[in-house]
Amino acid sequence: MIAAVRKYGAWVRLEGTAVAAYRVQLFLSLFGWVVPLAFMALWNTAASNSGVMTSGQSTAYYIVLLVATNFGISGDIIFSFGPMVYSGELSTLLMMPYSSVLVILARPVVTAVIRSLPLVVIIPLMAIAMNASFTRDPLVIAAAVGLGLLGWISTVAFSWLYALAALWVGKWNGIMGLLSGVQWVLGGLVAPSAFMPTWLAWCMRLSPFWLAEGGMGELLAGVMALQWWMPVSAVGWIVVLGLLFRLAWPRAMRRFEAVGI
Amino acid sequence: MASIDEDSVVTLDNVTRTFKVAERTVGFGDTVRGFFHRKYTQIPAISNVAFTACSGEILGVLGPNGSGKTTTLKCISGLLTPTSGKVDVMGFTPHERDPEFLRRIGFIMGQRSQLHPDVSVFDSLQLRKVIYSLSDDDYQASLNELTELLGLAEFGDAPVRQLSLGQRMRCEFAAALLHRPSLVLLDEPTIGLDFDAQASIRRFVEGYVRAHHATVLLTSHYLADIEALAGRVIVMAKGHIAFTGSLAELRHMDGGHQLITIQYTEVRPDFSQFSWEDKVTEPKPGEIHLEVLRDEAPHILAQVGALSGVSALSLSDPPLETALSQIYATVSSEADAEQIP
Repeated sequence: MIAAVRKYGAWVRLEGTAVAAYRVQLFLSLFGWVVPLAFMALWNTAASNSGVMTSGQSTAYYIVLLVATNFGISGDIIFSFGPMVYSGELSTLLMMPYSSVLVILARPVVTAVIRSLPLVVIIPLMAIAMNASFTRDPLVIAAAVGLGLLGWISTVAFSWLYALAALWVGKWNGIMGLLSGVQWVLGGLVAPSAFMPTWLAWCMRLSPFWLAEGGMGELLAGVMALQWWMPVSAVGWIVVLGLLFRLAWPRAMRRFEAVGI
Repeated sequence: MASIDEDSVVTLDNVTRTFKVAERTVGFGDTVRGFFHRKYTQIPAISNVAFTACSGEILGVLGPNGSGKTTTLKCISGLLTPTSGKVDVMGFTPHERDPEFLRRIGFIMGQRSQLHPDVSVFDSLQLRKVIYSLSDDDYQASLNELTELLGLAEFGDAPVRQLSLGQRMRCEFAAALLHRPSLVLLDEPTIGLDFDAQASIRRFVEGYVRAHHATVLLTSHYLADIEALAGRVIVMAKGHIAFTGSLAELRHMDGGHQLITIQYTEVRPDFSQFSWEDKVTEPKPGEIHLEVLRDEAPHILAQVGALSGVSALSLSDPPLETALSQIYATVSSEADAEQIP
């Protein structure tokens, strides 16, 4: 186990070295907070008139989403796997005596950590300036963070499964972009589930993206109370997606045609 | 069918790999129809390939583009799963990608880099030390050996993307051999390199095999690579193995001919008295070529040597290209004949 962690640490360090070598790329990657901030500006105005949540709760919700979306790596997975297949890079990674699944995740993990760095400054400023209102119930806080982590794992597994489509579909860019759009809605970035029609709100709440992003936000902002179906959904998604991934990965590898080399 | 003997490191037994390819049509109408009713074709990249490679052997794999050389290496490395047949490499089934199997092989692809382009070569090697669980002593010993043999010291701390092709290839060798694999797969390792770089890579491969008793499978379009390194060759054409044997046997594939080269200074020698006169060609002024059967060569040499005006005389095997062209042509015509209903 220690050896496996050490190996993964070495991968992450190498990817970090590569990112740090290019200053412009590094600088641009630090602006991952712009989109959640724009949606927050929109919903803060609506929130005060809606009665569904206060302006402070809306700020708290989008602060959580800032963290969740910047640490989320599903977009990085779905957009990096296809080029890896078609450039032949996947072939070289598969020749390593180490988990190919983890190795391929090293770059998205590094990217997520780097783009999250500005949040150390931005979040306290937002929280103070916009009077963010978070729940103070320790049980809800612990549950929200736990559910968020389970949701994060589910979204990684889901994105992985989705990205494997690149091995079957020639023009993969279109379908990868589709998932990205769906994630904005289901994750709760476009709007909190409380603002959505009932059917769409439940589509959101029962998706792994909401657990990883909006669900955590609504719990921590005190918009929604902890409910029994949340942990059931989180664990259920992990079990189902884990099983599907175990079935899909060997098939994907048999399907792999090692193009590009 | 290839038999598995104790000394064999690689054994392929009737291995076939096909690729499912969608039939593409020309023109808008047919393309739209194809959207709703797509047809697929199974293209065999390799068919019933069977051979073995033994410990310490350098086995050359020759063939024109699309003959199945790289597909064969990919099946041996585990990158591709065979559609049928069995691949056995040191007791492992490659496509299962057992970590122990991966620790024992190295794969160098002339047209693809396994090094991170944005970091230095030494950074990439340091990562490999951790991934391959090399001890500090083993890593240092291997790194020192590779740095000396490949001359890495002068560019090892530069990002890979800034290296010349020759430098990059030397780094690829360092990355693939750092963990001292016992099976090395070389796919066009000298492609695009200048003469000096090719020669240095050949010397390195030869030295590595001698020092570590490794098995090497080498594909190359440069016959000089194969002639310099391989003790045995496989010739592939249209996904089939068309020839397996030594280089000498390959040269004799054309019926055992040899080439007599005759040089003269001023007056062209008179060959009219000999029965072989019609076989004489003069590719350039002052130099005459005569292709003869191996058994007849000594007798004809004596006849030519006695003629006046001959300034130099030599006997050589015909170039490998001659035998290869003959094999490719034969396989192609057989394959074409099979396709005719």
